[in-house]
Amino acid sequence: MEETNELYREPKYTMRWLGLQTLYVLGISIVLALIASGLDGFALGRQESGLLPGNRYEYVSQSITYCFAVIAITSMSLMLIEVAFRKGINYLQYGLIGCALCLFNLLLLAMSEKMSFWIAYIVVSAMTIALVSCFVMGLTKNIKAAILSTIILAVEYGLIIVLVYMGSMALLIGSLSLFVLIAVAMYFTLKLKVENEELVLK
Amino acid sequence: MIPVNTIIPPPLPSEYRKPVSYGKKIFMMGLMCCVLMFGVLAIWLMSYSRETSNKEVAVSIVNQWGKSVYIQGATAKENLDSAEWVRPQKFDCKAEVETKSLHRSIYEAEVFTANVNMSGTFDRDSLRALGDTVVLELGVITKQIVKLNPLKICEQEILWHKSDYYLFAKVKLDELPETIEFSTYFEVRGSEALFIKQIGENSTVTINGEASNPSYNGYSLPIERSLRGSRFSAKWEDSVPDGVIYTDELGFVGTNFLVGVDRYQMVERSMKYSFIIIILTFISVLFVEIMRKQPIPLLNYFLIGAALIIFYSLLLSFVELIPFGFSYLIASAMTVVLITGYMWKILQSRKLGLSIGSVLSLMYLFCYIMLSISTYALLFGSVLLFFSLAAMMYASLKIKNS
Repeated sequence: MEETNELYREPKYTMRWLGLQTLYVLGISIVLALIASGLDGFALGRQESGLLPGNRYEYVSQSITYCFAVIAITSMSLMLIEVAFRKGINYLQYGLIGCALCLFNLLLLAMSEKMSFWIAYIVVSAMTIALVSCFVMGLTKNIKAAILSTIILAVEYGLIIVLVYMGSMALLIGSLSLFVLIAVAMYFTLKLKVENEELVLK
Repeated sequence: MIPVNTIIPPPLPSEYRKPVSYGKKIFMMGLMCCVLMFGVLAIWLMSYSRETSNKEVAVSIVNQWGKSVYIQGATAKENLDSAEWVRPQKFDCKAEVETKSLHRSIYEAEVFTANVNMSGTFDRDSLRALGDTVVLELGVITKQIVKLNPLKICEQEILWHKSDYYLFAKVKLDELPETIEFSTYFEVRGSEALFIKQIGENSTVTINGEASNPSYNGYSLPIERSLRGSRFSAKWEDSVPDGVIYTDELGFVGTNFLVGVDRYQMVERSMKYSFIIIILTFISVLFVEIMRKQPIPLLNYFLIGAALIIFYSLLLSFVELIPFGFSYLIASAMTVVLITGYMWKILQSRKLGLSIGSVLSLMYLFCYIMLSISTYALLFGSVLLFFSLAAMMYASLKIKNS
């Protein structure tokens, strides 16, 4: 009887799940990005009161604009990790990870008041990456999934600091990386197969 | 024992496919197009803000090179401070304009250098009324002058003196003939506009050179003008009745030049066709789906639409570095290759992938043609839409209703 139970499990990862999950992820990304844009005004206030020296406000404000992309891309790759490693991550946990990525901006603002921007950036991104990948490790109990999420986050944050420092060339690099991102997404949808109504990553 | 909630009907045999409801799918696709248009809007806003900042930088580059050039003169005066002045009898001014663009990282501004040849005649008797020695004055911002030849009066060379806003030279009237001929030559740097005052009783002003989009302006329109490629030429003639004195604003004729570059306008114009490109691509993929009876999930449509939108982002970023034609070519080639490869892999058919790719490249080609021919764009576009509708009708004939 246990075997039948195993065989006729209700499919969880269906196309419908993928659609709903994508909508949910985009929703929390928009909400958190709005909160982060509130931080932008806060940073401006700190600069005016003389607490944020030099042109660090420009850098902080620019890295805040990428908040939406970071949360959306990280959550979507978590969805892929979920499908690939077959470990459920619930809505609350997605929300918590989004909050950690949003808190990154506040930490960055606070740290860059005390030290130069790039040191603050490295410290804060290391903190955030460590937190999120430990959380993923705890959720999936799988070292591969944790390493994968570390790599994804490190690439995202590395790209953002390049974009922040590039100035006028940022648009070119940004749109090229969007192109690569679309290509990667296309690659994963090709690998995503539906077997017995269940999504499988092959 | 089986728990209640796990009693599920066994999976359906694999040959069975749930029928796809195309009406619902087309509705969802329309909705998706509207969502994707927000992406286009975002890129349009980005292009607009970059255009604004580019204009600001262009103005600052231009101010270092030189502002608008206003040439006023030459006139004769008793001394520099006197308000009374005598105009030349004949005045002839030829300006040869060479435009070039200055770059500062991704920013660009159009400036020019004008070679001005000026000649004319004064009546000696009217100058005598001012005194034995008169001062010839030529109004132009001297900071912008890069090369200056001395004033020539009846084969005699007199050096110009420079003040901030004019050049002047002292002329002794003894031993000069009845009609005093004068001529001079100088090179001046500037931007935006070149205006020359018709100062003589009979004046001829000629401006010619190369510029992308000159517009004639000022007191009167040119009596002769021609435009061949980017080479333009314009001629003004005027004669002043006795006793009429132009005030400072009147009498200037010349051309305005564009300072900024119109590359952002090209990107924004090409964005007008984004909706139709997305719709037509979706329809051709849908036809393939219906004919092959192989369902393609909406997720894949979304990715194709996103790739079509990133085309504009790529175009915008390339156009700041290289000319528009090349950037259009590179961006469209990247997009077409990506979508062709994707369709090839989804449908597992090289033929279908390549045919989608050729439809896309045709669309991009036609869009480029429409961007280059602005006057016939509407006619060409509507004829193209007619033919694409005909092609769709032909393709729908092949769908058998079952």
